[in-house]
Amino acid sequence: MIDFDTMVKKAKASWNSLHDQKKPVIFAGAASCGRAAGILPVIEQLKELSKKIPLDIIEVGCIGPCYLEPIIGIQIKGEPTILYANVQPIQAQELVENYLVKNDPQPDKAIGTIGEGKIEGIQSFWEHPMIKDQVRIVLKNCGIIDPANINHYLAMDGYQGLKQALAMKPEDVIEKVQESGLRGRGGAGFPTGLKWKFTRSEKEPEKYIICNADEGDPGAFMNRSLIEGDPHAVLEGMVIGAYAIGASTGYVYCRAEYPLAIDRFEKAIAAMKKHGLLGENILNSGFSFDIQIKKGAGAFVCGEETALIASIEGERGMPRQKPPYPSQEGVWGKPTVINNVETLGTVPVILREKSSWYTKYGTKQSKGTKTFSLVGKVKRTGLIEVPLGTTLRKVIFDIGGGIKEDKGFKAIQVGGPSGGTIPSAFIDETLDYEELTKLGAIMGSGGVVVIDEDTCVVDLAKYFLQFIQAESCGKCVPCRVGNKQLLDLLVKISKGLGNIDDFELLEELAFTISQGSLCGLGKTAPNPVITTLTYFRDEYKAHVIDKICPAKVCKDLFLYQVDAETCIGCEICRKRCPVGAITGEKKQPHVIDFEKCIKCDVCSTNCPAKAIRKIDKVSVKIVSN
Amino acid sequence: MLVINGNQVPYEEGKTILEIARENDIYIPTLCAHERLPSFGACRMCMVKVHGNKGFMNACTTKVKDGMVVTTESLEIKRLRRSIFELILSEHPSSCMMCAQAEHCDKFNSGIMKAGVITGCNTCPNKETCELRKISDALNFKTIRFPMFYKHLPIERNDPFFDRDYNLCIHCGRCVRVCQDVEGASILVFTHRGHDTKVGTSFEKPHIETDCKFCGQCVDVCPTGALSARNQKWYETPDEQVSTTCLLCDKGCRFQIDVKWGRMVGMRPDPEYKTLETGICVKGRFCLPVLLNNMDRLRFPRIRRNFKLYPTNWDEAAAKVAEIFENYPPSKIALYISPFLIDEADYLFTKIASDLEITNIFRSKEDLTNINKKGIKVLYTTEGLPNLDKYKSLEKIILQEVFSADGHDFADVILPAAAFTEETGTITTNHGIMTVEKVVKAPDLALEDWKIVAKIAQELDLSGFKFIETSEIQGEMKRLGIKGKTRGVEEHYLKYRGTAIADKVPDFKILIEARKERDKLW
Ligand SMILES: Cc1cc2nc3c(=O)[nH]c(=O)nc-3n(C[C@H](O)[C@H](O)[C@H](O)COP(=O)(O)O)c2cc1C
Ligand code: SF4
Ligand code: SF4
Ligand code: SF4
Ligand code: SF4
Ligand code: SF4
Ligand code: FES
Ligand code: FES
Repeated sequence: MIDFDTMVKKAKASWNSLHDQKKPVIFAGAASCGRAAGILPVIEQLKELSKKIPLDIIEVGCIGPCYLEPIIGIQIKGEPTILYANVQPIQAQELVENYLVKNDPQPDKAIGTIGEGKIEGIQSFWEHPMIKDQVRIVLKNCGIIDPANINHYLAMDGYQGLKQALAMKPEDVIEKVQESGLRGRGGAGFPTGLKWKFTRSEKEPEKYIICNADEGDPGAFMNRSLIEGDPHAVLEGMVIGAYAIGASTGYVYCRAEYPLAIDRFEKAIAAMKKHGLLGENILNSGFSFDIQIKKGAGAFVCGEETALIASIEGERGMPRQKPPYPSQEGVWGKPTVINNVETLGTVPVILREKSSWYTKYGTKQSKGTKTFSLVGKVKRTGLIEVPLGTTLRKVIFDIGGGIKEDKGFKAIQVGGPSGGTIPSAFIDETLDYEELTKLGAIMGSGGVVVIDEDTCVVDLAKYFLQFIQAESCGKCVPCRVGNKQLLDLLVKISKGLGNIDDFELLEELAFTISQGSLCGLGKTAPNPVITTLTYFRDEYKAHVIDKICPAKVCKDLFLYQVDAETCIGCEICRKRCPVGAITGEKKQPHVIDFEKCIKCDVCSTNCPAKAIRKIDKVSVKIVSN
Repeated sequence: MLVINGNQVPYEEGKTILEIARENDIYIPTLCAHERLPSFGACRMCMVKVHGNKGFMNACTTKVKDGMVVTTESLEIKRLRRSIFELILSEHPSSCMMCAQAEHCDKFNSGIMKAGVITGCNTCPNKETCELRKISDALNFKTIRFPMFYKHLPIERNDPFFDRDYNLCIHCGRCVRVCQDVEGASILVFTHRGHDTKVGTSFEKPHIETDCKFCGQCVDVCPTGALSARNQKWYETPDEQVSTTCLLCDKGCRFQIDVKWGRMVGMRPDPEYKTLETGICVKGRFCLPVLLNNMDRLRFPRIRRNFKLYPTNWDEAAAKVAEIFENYPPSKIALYISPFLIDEADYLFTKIASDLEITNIFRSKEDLTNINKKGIKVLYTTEGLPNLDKYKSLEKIILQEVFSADGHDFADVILPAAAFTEETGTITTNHGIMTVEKVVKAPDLALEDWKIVAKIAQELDLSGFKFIETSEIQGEMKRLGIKGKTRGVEEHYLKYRGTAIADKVPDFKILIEARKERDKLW
């Protein structure tokens, strides 16, 4: 086995040669998000092209602004890489040809440059409005390096943290992680160093470490992106953790719906073994450790640590009551550390740098940075990383660019389906564990959904609850039955069938479910209801008392009507209506038959004059013939 | 120090709050906890407050610790428990519990109404043992604020022995745990997810197609009417419950038997008896009442006259046996001692044999070859034996049996014996000497085996047979240093005395027919 320093020297040389090589290099953002946006046909096209023009194509992970994908970067020797967004196959070929052959960097089509040097008319990518307020620590390598190439990771100071750790006493490693203030990024924010310390102090010598890569929140993709873009960081963190607590086996629990992430992990593990970074006697330290990958069937509850352990043991993914905590009795009944992907991905840099380096980011109690998936009605969506304590305003308006179509900003939902809905009034509050809890939300794994004025909070709460009640493991009464009753109540209210007593029932159920449930899923399930009920009570009242959905989302509470004044009689709506609910002559105002209309919204979206309105059902007296 | 509700209570490290509370007579409602099962924490009825903890803790999984201060009753706790219980009842056909007329209904509507579908307690087979009703009473429950939901699951009645109506299931998981942790069978599992979660076999197979042992443990731990033994429904509160030992094999399982109208109406493993945790079998759990309540039982002594068996009384029957014994030399007489006799009866047979100098004592079918070898002329057997007509030397056959088993039609004297549930005594099992308790009266003139021997001995003017109770026989055995032996009957033996259990218990026949091909045990 070659020694570590030689290994790094070689890796650095190979990384540098990639940038110094004569042949141009195309970096293609080929994580799942890029693939969904259509990067693979682009890559195919460029491969064809490479038969004519010499090119190297390298697949990298996601660099963040998902709304700009597919993204490619073109690097020619001596110049910074130029990133182009929203590329399609033909267009990509043109971009490459124009730049490589005609030497035209097409600044109008570029979104930024990466690397040293400047190209006229193109700003640095790091100055991009979505990027410039971010602090990329965990995501440092994502979108930059080839995740399947361990040399790239090594060239970026990879495994330096592990090397340092192995030279320290395990207790000191734990001490350092404690000093960094790192808290679990998987939800509850438990101090990572302390969790390791507890586990290490258990008498039972056989211990395990688990990387929780279940990521069940719908719409969350932070962990997936990190794995797909930089799997070695996560695995390095895991080896460090294993050394610190004294584990000789680790499990990566990854949902089977993440095939690319699993593939990245598998390749990374194989490469680690080849380089002596995993297996027997890691880096000649005498420490041995191995990692197995377990695929999860994709139940949300399997992200809960005790359910996850049951699932690894081949049982139904059902949580069990804590204590005993996994640190006392985890997988196979042995002391076990479970950490989130991002938590582990942060560990290497903590070991590599001085403690004070990491603690300079974040707030007093929430140190460092956190990734968030920014989605919903915001202009710039994608994966972001900001210091904990960043204001919502900065995230939504500076990074996210504000609300889509410049509509009104209503709220954000933080922490996934069982997070809380925070109204726009709290725009200057900050994203950190304490503040979010205070507002009734949770950090969760970091899903941020931006909600605009067109969203109905009853509908929103209903949507989240629908998900949660279907994902309940069914073990305990408050969660299994309570959430169903809660959902039914919301459905009833959204249909205009609620009555004033329902408020009491909603609150009673929220109390019972949150206080009575066994695991975090149930305990947090009513959060969307509790927060919307607290912050948007008037909107509930409108549904319950006035039978009005102010946002015009709850279909039972509004009707479509053609505004006779505005209608230009173009006949489009009449022709498109799937149920023939619209009548009207050419150039004459059209009329919608309420009773036939199925509220499919087709007429409204297609009307060139925007003459189709939603009106409150209660405002119309329907005379049935 | 441990404080519960302001009082210091004694405690043992390692026990749960619930266990300690029970030991100290502090009531905490529970539904999923069961003393024979590992705690599960699913019903959430047992929520209590532990000082210093923000939320509520469930008593059934939380271990006590020194310095703990626990509150089991408060307005807040009550609110939570009631609300949880309300949720449980919102999915359980509980209208009878809420009914304003319930008291009258219970008083005047004698007996449970038999119904195909359980719509409320008054059509529920387990009304009397239902734990929901007990908690409802304890919480003085009167209304449900939530809409009721009936699950419309198909009622499962296509298996032998027990029925399942999962519309009543409250998901306490006791059946799942008993099947997995006690029986080691894992037939019952949780299936589906979310609100659709249910209990059942994987892939909803009938139990007979799984490896279900029909041990009935799941039925016994079910707190509701979801699982019910088919042959013991509808009898309401038993008059009496008696515990005894099963004699169908050497395992020595203890049962608690429900008695009503002088008959065995139901049974369950004796909750007081821990060795059961090794598992019990379908014969004991389900077959016994059907087998022994059977109409085919022998009820009267009979004597052959003019080629026909006529009923008679015991005096005449005993005199007849005595007469036969006197007419043949002991060397031509053989006794067949069934392994299904209690130790005292077994001893009295050996005693009478030795008094009469009968040395041909057979205990297994193989021993029967001696009949031809020794030219045996009289066979006194305590269990029905096949092919007795093939032994040409036999001139007289005396059959002492519970059923008209094999050999009945060739017998000269029929002596109707009480079954082991109809006598008191001891048997030696794998667990050592255990007691057998008289649960019900033997039918008509049927008599305990040992009493029959004593009667015959009296007719023969033998002394030393004047016993009133089996305890006296035990005393004599002890004095003489005679110990009972295990009888070598293994768990999957298919007969009781000379009768195939399947012949008397139709459900058992279905089971062994279905399992014959794949289950080598039966
Ligand atoms: C319903 C539920 C789902 C969860 N899903 C995840 C998940 O997908 N990924 C994750 O890392 N943690 C998840 N958690 C949190 C884990 O139970 C656990 O706290 C976490 O993995 C610990 O790692 P950390 O300390 O690094 O945050 C979930 C918790 C609950 C209650
Ligand atoms: S809270 Fe929900 S998911 Fe958690 S154990 Fe209870 S039923 Fe299962
Ligand atoms: S909403 Fe759909 S169904 Fe209704 S009128 Fe318009 S097109 Fe027709
Ligand atoms: S199990 Fe039977 S008795 Fe008990 S509440 Fe349900 S229906 Fe009533
Ligand atoms: S009868 Fe026994 S083996 Fe069959 S399901 Fe019930 S507990 Fe399991
Ligand atoms: S069938 Fe009975 S024992 Fe099994 S989970 Fe349902 S209520 Fe509990
Ligand atoms: S008895 Fe404790 S949760 Fe059911
Ligand atoms: S009708 Fe309700 S208990 Fe009889």
